[in-house]
Amino acid sequence: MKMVQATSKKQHSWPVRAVALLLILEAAIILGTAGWALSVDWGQEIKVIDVNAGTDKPPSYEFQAASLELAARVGAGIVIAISLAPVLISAVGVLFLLRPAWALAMLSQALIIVFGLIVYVNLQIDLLFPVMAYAIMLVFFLNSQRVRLGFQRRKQTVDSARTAPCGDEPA
Amino acid sequence: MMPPSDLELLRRFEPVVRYTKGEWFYPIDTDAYLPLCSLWTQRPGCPPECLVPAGELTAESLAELRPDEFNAVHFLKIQDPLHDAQPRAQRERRRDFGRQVRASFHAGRGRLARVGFGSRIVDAFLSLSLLTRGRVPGAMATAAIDAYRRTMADSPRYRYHGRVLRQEGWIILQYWFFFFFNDWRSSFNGANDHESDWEMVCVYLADNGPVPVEPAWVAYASHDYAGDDLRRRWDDPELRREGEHPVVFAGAGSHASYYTPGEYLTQLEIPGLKPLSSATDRLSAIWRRTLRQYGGAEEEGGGNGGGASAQNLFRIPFVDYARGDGLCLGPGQEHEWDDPVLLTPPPAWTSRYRGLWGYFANDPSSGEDAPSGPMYNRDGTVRHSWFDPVGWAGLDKTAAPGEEARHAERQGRTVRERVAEGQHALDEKTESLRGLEVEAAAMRGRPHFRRAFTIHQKQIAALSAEIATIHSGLTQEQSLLDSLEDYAFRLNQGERDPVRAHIKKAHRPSSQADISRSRITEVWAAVSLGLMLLGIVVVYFFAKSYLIWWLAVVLAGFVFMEAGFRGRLTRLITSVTVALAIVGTLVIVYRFFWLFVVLAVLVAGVYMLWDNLRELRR
Repeated sequence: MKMVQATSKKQHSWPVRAVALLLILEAAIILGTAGWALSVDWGQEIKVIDVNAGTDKPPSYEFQAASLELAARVGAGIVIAISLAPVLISAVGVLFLLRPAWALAMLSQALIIVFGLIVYVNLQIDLLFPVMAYAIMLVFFLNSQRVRLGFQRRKQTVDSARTAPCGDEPA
Repeated sequence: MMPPSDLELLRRFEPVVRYTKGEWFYPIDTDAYLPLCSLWTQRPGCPPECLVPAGELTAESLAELRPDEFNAVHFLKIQDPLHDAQPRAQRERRRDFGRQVRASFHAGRGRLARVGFGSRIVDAFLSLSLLTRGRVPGAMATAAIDAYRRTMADSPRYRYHGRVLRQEGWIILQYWFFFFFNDWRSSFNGANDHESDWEMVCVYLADNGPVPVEPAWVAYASHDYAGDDLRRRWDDPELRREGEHPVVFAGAGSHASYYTPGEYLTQLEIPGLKPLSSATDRLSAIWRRTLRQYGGAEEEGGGNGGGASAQNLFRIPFVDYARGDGLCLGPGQEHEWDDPVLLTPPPAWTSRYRGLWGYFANDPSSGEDAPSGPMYNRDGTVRHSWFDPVGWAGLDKTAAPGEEARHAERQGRTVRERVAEGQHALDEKTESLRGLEVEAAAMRGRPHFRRAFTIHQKQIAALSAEIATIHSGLTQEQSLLDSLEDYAFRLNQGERDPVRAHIKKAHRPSSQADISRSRITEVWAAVSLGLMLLGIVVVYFFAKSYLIWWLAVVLAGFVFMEAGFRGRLTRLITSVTVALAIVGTLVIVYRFFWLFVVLAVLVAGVYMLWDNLRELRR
């Protein structure tokens, strides 16, 4: 009987570990993409200019890029870098088996897909498609029965451990 | 020893029925109802015509055949004593009725709080459609209550109509309950109202010869459901019994029968939306089974069940309150059954009157039209539960108790015969194959046999394939035979099938968590839809320039609040993210279509190379 329990516990924990691993990998991909996108010569290629210079109006600063492609690349890099934080937090949450980690992981995927779509529609560049494809794959994995039930059982175990009377060892 | 009479059998197993507090109508005999009714006919394109005025209608006069044109509908109508009264008196009576309903029944957390936004929108359209389609006027419920009260004051009685028939080794006891009115909609926020109501409970006894009879199964009629899920075995713990009397929990107003007390979420199929609801069911099945995606509460065994799949956007949910906290009828209860009215043999009013037993509202979905008698459907065809009560509850597949082992043994013999026949066919075909092979061998090296040899080769190949199929079938039959022999042995040892093996989706009452929603959730469920429409109007007038964006914001806000109130934020996140993922996939496929085609070809090529090279290495 004990052996059966141990096996089923093992079965339920592997999808959770896989999710953590995939999220960490995703964070690395985002970091790489954002790093590459933002690796420009900020002094030469990107300039900060005062559009009101030479007028009586108060100064108003804007970024000016050497080319349109470069501006799009930098924009996409900044956008994708924003999603790094929730992905990393959810990865850590899953590693520490925190209850809201699954929802946060799902939310961060939504964020990445939305950013990907916005960048595609507005900037017309393909830079974020690999990250977006990875996020889509992760969405379906996160929503698969194995992963969902894995988290569900974890939640139940945590709940029953919390409600167990003093001195009782949670199963 | 004399076998028990039909009446004795009916009385021995008559059910105990527990009603919900607030119920107005209880089972009564039709003799009390008919004198209060008039008989009418509705011919297409004509106003209704009275055939027999109120006070003159009897069971005998109802049974008189009245030839009429095709599509004419015969129906009864309760005479309202206040029909000619001042409108003020009628209004006062309706108000009084409303007060009494509120005083006697508390719905608790209503159905709207238990279902989602989409279902509430469809429900609102259904409510609006009541204005255009036929419906039972509100005054009819009050008239029926008045009529019923007067009848009970004159001669109080609780009576059922009993029918006994013998079919396929079973003695079937049918208990038909007749009610003056179905006030599910007007009194209990249900789906429909109609004059008169027929409900039924079946008890199946094993026909073991003269004596003794043995109860084996029961089946309770519940709305329009039929099949295996309706019946319970006599030893099923879900079936409550008081001695030999099964206990029925009747839905308030609807009078549908349930095994367990509780509040049942019943999903009503709208005829026009049936293709959409079926498509949603199919998509949901693909999502869960083929794509192995999470399907909500059903995965955790918390599905609602109930004949239909878990909540479907295109089915309207209604709550059937079968709390069992009201009047209790039956042996040993506060009111016992009076002598039943026997329907064996069927009296003329049952078999010869095919019309409706109440007001014909001309409702295209039929929900508001009165039902026909116990024998007929609304369209005049014979009810399944009447002509085949065994098949109606899916019992035609099942052997009577004590007969199962004999059936298994008989089936074993049939399979054994099939195996013998198969073996014989196999021997013959093997002999033929060998003959063909010998002939083919004899043809080799003789050029003039070239054509015949080719034909022989084809015949040999076909026969070989046929023999392989027979072999495979025989192996399967042999396994089946072993299983049957084992099964018959176990049955002979007294073992029985699991008590609920036949049930696929049992109707289960809502969980306590579903019922005990907060008051604020209830209020939100009641006002959200109206507020959203008002919000859309406000946006239209004050933010015309950004109409689409503001509409999206309003909709998103309402959806978010809805999810929050119902504790389904995680579900909302999932739905939104999955929808985004699907959109993202489509965009990627659109953007890189040819790349995907090239990749697919590349993968296929690499796989073929790998597979063929692997074969070479072996």
